[in-house]
Amino acid sequence: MQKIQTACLDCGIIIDVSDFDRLQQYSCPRCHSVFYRPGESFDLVLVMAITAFLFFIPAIFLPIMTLEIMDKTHSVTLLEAVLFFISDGYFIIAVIASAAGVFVPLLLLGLIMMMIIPVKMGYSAQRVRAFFRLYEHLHGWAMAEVYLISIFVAIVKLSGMAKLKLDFGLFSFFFFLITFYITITWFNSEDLWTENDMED
Amino acid sequence: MIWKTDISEGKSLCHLCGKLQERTQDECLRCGETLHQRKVHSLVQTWGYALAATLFLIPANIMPMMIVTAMGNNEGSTIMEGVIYFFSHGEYAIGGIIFIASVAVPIFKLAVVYFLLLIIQFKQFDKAQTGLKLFHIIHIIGKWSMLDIFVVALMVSLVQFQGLASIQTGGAAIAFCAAVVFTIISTNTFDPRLMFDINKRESI
Repeated sequence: MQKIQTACLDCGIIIDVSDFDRLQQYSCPRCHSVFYRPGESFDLVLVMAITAFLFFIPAIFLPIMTLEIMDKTHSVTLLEAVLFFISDGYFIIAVIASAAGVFVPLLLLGLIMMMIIPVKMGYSAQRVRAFFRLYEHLHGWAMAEVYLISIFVAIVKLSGMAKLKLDFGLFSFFFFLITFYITITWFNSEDLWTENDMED
Repeated sequence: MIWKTDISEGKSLCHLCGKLQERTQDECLRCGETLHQRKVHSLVQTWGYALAATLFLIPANIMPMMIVTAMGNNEGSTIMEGVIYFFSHGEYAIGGIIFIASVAVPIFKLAVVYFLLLIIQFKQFDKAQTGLKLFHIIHIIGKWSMLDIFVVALMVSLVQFQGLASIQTGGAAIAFCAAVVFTIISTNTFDPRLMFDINKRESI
């Protein structure tokens, strides 16, 4: 049997992985950093990704909260909150915040589905390698969990200056971020290649 | 003990999919990413981004983060004033989160980046293990410094009552955003393997 080798991404030593079990976690013998973390099965990841995607639709179109200052009420949807900046001057912050908190997570979910579905249908993982590269480059920039905490901070800050009522959009956005986070932690993109190798 | 590394064996590792292949290869056979044995110009780029982030931290802490206009009077607040506001109102948990995320974490991260760079520049190869642990820590906590930016962005778009109350971003928001983004880029361009390469060359 051919020897399968890989190298540690953190210190560069060569590790023989021929008889490794894909269901266990392995760390580097020299620098002790984890270099393989097992992911859940692709079926579970796909189900979770679709769940997150379904939560996203009400999250962006339904109002997230209603503010009331001196008998004036104002309800906002997430889409309005994001698009508001296009007419306004705070373009860079708006683009960065809405990309990291909303659009990069959404794109990653789409990419996960576009990678898993063809592989499940029996196509070679080589055909989705462009999606794989984009996914790997982007996934450090998804900050869904930070965005979630920042919503809570904003609510606490706002409750000092206005009466506010939380709406259904906020709860579905909350669930979208949680299911998205679970999807990302369960999905191990390296499994794409090992699954493919086994078929050859 | 002398370890076999990718340099000594003449191989290069794809940093995206983890496939090890011959050094002569330009593109990864499996995922098509451009291959390099070590990240290109890692030290220079990391120094540059870390210095830029340090410079941006100064206006970020002096200028106001957001300007609240309510009932005709304007009120700007810096990052530290925001933290003090929460502590004086008894919200210790949120005040603590904001203090850690927007004051402690950015400074700690930059200190670690400089520490890592100095390890390589002064060939302190015995500190590589400590350096790598710190590198993993700043990778995990890095994105949390964006918290304050997101809060400002949300508040500005949520609170818009014509004539009654509105919130605008101050100059610090953009400076702080730049500082955080540059710090994240500097940890991405840093190649921790350089710390261990020195180790190998000195010990042989």
